[in-house]
Amino acid sequence: MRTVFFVGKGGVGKTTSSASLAFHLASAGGKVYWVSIDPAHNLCDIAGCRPFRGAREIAPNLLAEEIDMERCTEAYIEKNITRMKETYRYLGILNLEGAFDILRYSPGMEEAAVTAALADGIRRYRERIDCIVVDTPPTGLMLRMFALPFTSILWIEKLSEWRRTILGRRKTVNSILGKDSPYREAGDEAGEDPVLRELGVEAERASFLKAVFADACVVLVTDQERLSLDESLRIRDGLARIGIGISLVLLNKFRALNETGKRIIEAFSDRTVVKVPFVEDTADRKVLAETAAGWAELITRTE
Amino acid sequence: MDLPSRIKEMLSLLSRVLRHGSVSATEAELREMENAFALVLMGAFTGMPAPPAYISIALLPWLERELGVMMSRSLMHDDRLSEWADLVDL
Repeated sequence: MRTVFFVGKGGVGKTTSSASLAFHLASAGGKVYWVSIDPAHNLCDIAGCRPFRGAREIAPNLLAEEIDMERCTEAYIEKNITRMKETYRYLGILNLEGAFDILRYSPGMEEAAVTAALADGIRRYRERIDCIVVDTPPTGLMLRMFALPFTSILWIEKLSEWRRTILGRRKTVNSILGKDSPYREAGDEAGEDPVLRELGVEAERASFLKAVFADACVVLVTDQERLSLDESLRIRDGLARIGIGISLVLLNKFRALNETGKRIIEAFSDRTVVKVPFVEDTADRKVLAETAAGWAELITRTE
Repeated sequence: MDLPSRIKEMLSLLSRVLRHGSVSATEAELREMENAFALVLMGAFTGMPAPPAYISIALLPWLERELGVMMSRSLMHDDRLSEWADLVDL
């Protein structure tokens, strides 16, 4: 199974390019899961269907899903707030239970919710799908989303190690003081510790996503605008910092090569740069599928 | 209380005193580790390097004890002398 991420500046044609690949592979008989986490919500506009929730087969072999970032962030935060309110229920006596509502303004919750939703989607369909095509959100969020499992794993490893040391010390105190130990109720078994269990769950999810990102094919979509070039270079460098390389560059909406186009080709001289002509009618699925004919094979054989 | 019972009680008391003495440094270290563990998870609030917020939030429901330790350590922060006196059993 192949996972392909389409990245690039807003407006360069990420969704259209991802649609091209999805329709092309599906029309060739491959089973495709096309998922968009771009808050621009234009998957349905391109696919020519009415907006829907969850995954739906919009063409033979093609399962499509638009992850509503706002709704999934809200659901993710709500789940955490509910759990906190249940644990610290006694705060209700002081009317403080509403204090947890502030969690919804915690920085980083958006990418955590989106990556969790993406991981769930990939897990759900990977067994019966040949290719997962992902249309990504704008650059800032996309880079944070890619970096999240890598930084999370570092923190989780350190916190788990620290927690085991704490439990080890508790065990020492408990075994010497016996029933007089102030840590008797606190628990000292690693196998029963809820903090380690929770860290294990998060470690498993982060490792899964790290493996998905590390094995993925990343397609950078750009046009011949200077701002698109600048952002493409930032994306390349941002991904390189976490060890993810660009597999293919699509020079989209191509008509004639200009100076910026030449600079793009030069900047990505170590990668294949494919010139993709401007698609007039993005609602025509056949045209979309044909547009990817020139480069889809490069992705399916890129390692 | 007869003599054997008194001796038994005295030995038990002595044993408890010695056992508490032997782990007081470990207990102090443990308190600091629990305090720092909670403090790191709350790093975003204190300006320290912190793990991604979702990890802290996932762990918060299980850290009632550590948060209590952190709060009491914060309250004792300025009272170094009594802290030291406690550590050396004065």
